[in-house]
Amino acid sequence: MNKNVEMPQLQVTQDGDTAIIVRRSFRHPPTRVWQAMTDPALIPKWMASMDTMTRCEMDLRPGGSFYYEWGGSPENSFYFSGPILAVDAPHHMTHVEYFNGETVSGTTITTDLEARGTGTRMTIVMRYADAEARAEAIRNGMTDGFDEVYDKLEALLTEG
Amino acid sequence: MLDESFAALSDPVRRALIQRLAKGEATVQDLARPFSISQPAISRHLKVLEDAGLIETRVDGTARPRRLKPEAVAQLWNWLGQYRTLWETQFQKLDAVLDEIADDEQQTSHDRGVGLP
Repeated sequence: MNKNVEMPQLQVTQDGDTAIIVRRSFRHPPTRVWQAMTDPALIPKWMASMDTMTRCEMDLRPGGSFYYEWGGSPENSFYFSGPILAVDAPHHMTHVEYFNGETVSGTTITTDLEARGTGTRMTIVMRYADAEARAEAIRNGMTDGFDEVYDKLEALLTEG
Repeated sequence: MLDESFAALSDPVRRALIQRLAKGEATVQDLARPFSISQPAISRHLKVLEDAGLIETRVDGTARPRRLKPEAVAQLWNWLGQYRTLWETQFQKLDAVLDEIADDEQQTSHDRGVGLP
């Protein structure tokens, strides 16, 4: 049932009980992908949310940290922050992501960029604190676009 | 379990119940409120969803809130690819940023009078 016709490049899979693995290719070399993914002037241009990113800080070195914040007013803003554990530009980075400063259940994220011809193969592994944390993350993602989900389900059921 | 889940989700009321439970656990009363059908009818729909392994009942004193099972969430996600859509939206924007960087690099090369490869 893992139909992936409309976006052949992107693969999102679950690994074990706690991880999600995202793989995708880019037409540009690792140096450029690395720049877009780590430069605080560029990150807000692509990191998706309903809101605009209002603060973006990245101290890219082992022992450094990052801070991404969305939403204008204090009551509806949220942020992700955490330590940078490992950096090997432009190929590898490991960081921990905490939601709204809650440091009990962080997600450990490793990003790998590998040259493929003139482009890049990216692999992101997101390891959640436990199975429930992963389910929660997926649930949040699903809730955002439920109409779309059910249109797709209708289509699948019609096919079947 | 896959076929059973699909059968369970072939009904629009049951899909609406799943949609509501995706936002968090809820009692039968909560779940029945938006519908024009009776609470026992809602309970029957919930039983179908529970038998299919999509939801579970939590015992909390006298309350019996229903919630999505994490495994079921994971399965739904696999089927529907919703998460993929979110990621792909993001990465398509990243593609555009990469094209911009490449253009800037070309522009800089021109400014310096350096020939392009």
